[in-house]
Amino acid sequence: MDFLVPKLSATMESATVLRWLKQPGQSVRMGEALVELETDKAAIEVEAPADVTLAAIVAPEGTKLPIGGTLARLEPASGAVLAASAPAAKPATPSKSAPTPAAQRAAPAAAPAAQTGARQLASPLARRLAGTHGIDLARLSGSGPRGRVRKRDVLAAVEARGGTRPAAPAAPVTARAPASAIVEGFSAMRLGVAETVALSRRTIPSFSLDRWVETGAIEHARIAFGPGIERASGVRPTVTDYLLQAMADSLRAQPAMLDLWTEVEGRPRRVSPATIDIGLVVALEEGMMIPVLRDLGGKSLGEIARLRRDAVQRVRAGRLLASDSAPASIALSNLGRGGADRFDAIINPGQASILAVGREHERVIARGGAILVAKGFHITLSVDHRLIDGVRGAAFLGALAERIEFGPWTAE
Amino acid sequence: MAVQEITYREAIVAALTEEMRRDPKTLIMGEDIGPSGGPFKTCQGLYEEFGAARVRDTPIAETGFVGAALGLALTGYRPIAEIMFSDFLGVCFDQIVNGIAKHRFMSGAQSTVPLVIRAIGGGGLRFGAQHSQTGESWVLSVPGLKIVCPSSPAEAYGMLKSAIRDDNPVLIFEHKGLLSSKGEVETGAERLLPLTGSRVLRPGTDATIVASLAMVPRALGAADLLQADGIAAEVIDIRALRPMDTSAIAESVRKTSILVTVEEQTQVGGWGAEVVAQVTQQAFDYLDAPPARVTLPEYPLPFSPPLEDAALPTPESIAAAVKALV
Repeated sequence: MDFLVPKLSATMESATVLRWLKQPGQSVRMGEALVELETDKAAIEVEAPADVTLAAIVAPEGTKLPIGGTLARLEPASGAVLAASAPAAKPATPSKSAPTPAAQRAAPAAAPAAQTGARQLASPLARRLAGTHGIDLARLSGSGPRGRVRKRDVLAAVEARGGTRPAAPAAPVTARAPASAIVEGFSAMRLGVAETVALSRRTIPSFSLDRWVETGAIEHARIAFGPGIERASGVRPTVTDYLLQAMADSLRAQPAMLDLWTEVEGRPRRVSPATIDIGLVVALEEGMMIPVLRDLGGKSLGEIARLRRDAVQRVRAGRLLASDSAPASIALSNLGRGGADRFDAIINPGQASILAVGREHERVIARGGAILVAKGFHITLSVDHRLIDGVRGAAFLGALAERIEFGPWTAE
Repeated sequence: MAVQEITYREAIVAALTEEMRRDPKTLIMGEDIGPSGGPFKTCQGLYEEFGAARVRDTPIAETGFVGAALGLALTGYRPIAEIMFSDFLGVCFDQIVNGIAKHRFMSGAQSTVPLVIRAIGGGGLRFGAQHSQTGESWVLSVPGLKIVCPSSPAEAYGMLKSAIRDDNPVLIFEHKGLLSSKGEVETGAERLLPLTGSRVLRPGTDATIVASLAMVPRALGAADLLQADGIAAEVIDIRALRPMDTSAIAESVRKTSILVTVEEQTQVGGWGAEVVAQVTQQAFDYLDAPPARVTLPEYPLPFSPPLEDAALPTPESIAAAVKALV
């Protein structure tokens, strides 16, 4: 597969290759830094998108490329599919090993791209539908001019796979505007949110589990440790950070909650991530973003607070990194001081669950035969039933509730 | 007054008459628009009702009377200039692009230019290369102008009334080929139509056809042909070219994934190019084929009737362009 220049900031248009951190022939783990790029903002290390072998460097150091330009060719590390048909990858000088665009064009246009290595032409709509339904474009023969894959080709592949034809994207139900209303277009973000939540509702059979948890322990910890953590790390942890740590600890104890549903060549597959990565829902004027805070297992409150603050700042500034859109299993949506006691959140497609946190409030509770007043909030866990049954979800919610209510909360 | 079926030409006359009655500062100038009522009879009866002071026949000198209209607008009047053939906009181009369009900006908004230019254009009537152009492309890129192109009697009536009351210069492109077309119009009422935004004339799910002026009825004809082949085309009248609001078109393309524009102008620098660019930006991920533009060929419109007919988009050629994409 081609390793392309990613968009690393909202304003970025091109990048210059500063330094290759791996040599051709070397294998690289997913997430390991592969190359250092200089963008309009900063030098940024770009990570390998999967466990791969760096087959050939296409853009030597000093090359300037636009977004989407080819940096290198990668081969799947374990899958011998490509390696078997070609001699073992050998270190080669970049300029000689890089196939030329002309060589790619020479391939028969209508043949599936998987066989030729050529870029598969596809309409923007077909490309997006293929991503939505997990269809590999390279395996399709396009019916359009020059072999271009069209909407009908992707929908045929979805149907051939046995999936149901998607609820006709061509005919959305729309509202009729009253005569005096203003009718105008939506922002790209609003449309993105609309599409994401509709996809979730269409494809993820979910249910939710609810529990009211006391927050007294967090309140005490914030008073006792907050100032110390702030001195050490520069950030004072918020309730969100405590929740993130409690979620990370509970996920470490029940890693099955991290499992993801995916489809490889049309067959369902379980993905079990090695790290605890949690998405955080960040509200914006026109919608929301869900940056992923990576590898939170065992991290201190100060470390989590720093990661959270930086991610939120990047979202607000519209300067997301590639790692912000990494895969994650679970997300946290904390409405905080908003007006709702409790709510169900919609699972972000590609993830398995989401925790929704309502407003903190006092409530009369019964404990040990006595009536008392305590402060707390509802935590509501929406889960993908394909992956998580009621027993497992309830066990996780129970463990999470205990972790929140009883800690132990420490300065670590 | 009640809803009645009138022609595009009668709709223009009605709007002019009502607005001139409403505001005594409104006056109109143009060639042969006085006692003869205009070469296309779009000013019929105005001279008799309002007299020579407010309905002024001018010499054959567009720079002169369009420039005079600018002066009138700057000194408190609401002048309307009729350009007999849109082609003659070329004569008074400087007055429009360097005077009329810029005065409000250059005076720091101390002056307004409440002025309307009605230009009657279009081909298909055997007027030859110099009397058949529509001319929107020439002025499309000029900030400070509002540009509209009514395709029906109701649009001609409602947009002309809005244009006359607007405090900014408005260029109205009318079409000779539409003057006798009929439609329902509610005259005498305050039925003003906005000078921005497009209008969906026929809903459809398989392709979006955007057209202007005389190409609108032809696009509707194409939709009929396509319907027979099982293709449901949505037809949109773009109505207003500047400021251009393409949000409804992008909304349509999100549904149909196919975009075809139809304009009676050559392709380079036409409004179709702008629509394609804007829609691509707003709905890129919804496109299932490269947008297409149906236009005039890149040469002046021929005088020979068979050649003129061959150069103009037809329902058949529009339908063929859609079919190539669906």
